Amino acid sequence: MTVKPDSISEPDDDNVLMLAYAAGDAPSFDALYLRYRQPLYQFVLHGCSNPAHAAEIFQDIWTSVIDARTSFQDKGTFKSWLYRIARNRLIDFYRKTSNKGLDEFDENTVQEQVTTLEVPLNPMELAELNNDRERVQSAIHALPWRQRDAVILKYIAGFSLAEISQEQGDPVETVKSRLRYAYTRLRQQLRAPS
Amino acid sequence: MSTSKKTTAALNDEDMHALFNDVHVSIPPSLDQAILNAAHDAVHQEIPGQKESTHWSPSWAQGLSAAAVVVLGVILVPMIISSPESSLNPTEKELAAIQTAPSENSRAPDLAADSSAASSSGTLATAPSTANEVITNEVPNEVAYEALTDRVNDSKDEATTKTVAEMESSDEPSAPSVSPEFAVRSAVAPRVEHSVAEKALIDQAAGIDEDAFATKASKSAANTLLPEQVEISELSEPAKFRQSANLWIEEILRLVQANDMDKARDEYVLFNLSYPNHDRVSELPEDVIR
Repeated sequence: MTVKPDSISEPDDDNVLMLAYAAGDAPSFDALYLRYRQPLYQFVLHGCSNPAHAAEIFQDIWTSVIDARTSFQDKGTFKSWLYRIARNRLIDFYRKTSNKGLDEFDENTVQEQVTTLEVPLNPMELAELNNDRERVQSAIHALPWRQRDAVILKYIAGFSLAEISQEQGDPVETVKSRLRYAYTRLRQQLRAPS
Repeated sequence: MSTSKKTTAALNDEDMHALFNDVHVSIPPSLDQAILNAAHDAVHQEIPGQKESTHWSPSWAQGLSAAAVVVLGVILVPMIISSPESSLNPTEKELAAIQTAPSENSRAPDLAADSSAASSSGTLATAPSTANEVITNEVPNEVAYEALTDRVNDSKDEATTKTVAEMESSDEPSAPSVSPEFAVRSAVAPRVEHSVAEKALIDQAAGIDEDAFATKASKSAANTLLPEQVEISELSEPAKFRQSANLWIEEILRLVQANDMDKARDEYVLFNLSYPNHDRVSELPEDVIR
């Protein structure tokens, strides 16, 4: 059962596909999986920074989707539903593997000595980092949970600030400042000698 | 959208976009295969097993349903059986067995004897009328009429003779006592009830001195024939010509032409009772009128 992207039509609405799958149409799942497998796997991989754990969590997320197919409702978007499941799995993983709390070192709870005026990465630095993805993953993994969550939601899952705000339950301005802190931390870590 | 772009620009995160764009991570093929297999298996297993989920019913509901059925069965069935309108009423049941006796003559005396011992007289009084319903349905009036005319002329008909004798000896023809003879009468009833009534009229018309018998017989006929049955017998096919005097006269003339003088005379007697001194009687031959 190999997924052939060319053979699968992609309807606009993910919800339609999910509802069709819930009604028993297996090819609809194939289409959804094809659409989300890469960003979701990246999301998970950057969330846990461990390929072995990422594969396990990735499979667990899709199993949850399969099991909960009949409870899926056409109220929200499939994307939000899928990434909510993914975030919950990552939070569980974070709690199991980290001795830090979710809110620890968050910009809202701890006054961090980081500047938000860090200079952006230049093209040469970016080219180097593209060849060293593990370094990027480590830098992301070093972020406090909420910052990490905001970054991967924004740049990997493609969520807007409003959507991140809704998912995290915080105001948009809080999310924005959280992201600024995250950029600064990432830039500092990625510039630092390995 | 422009607000969002502004916000993004304000974040100054172009390097972050570049950092995460076009990043491809390889997913193990076995992982894809396992997930897709699981998804397809789940759907294929659901189709035969879907009934289980849709047929969800708690165990207490099943128990409640069973209990309700039992309670209704225990309460309603005896009520229906004991209801006076029920066809399952034992007394009615016995009577129905007796009334359908024409084809079961051999069983009738036993049933009658049993019912005489077990039933009250009030219940038995309903028997003749119910029996006549069966009789009317089973014996066409044409046949009954022919039997009547035959029997009027044939004094050797034992059943009629016996029944007439019983009628003569009985003081209460509408409420016959249940006896082994009752079953016999039920057996011959299709013919008897008609023959008794019409013989009485014929005899009366002929001036035979059987007034007492005729009275009893007409009473018996009136009591045993329901209004609906009388109407049916009058309007039924063979008696249709009797609805009109002209038709009746023409029928008698037809019988004369057919040289069936006996039947013609019989019809004339009945006609004369219904239409005394009718003008068209003069058209009939002297043999018939006499």
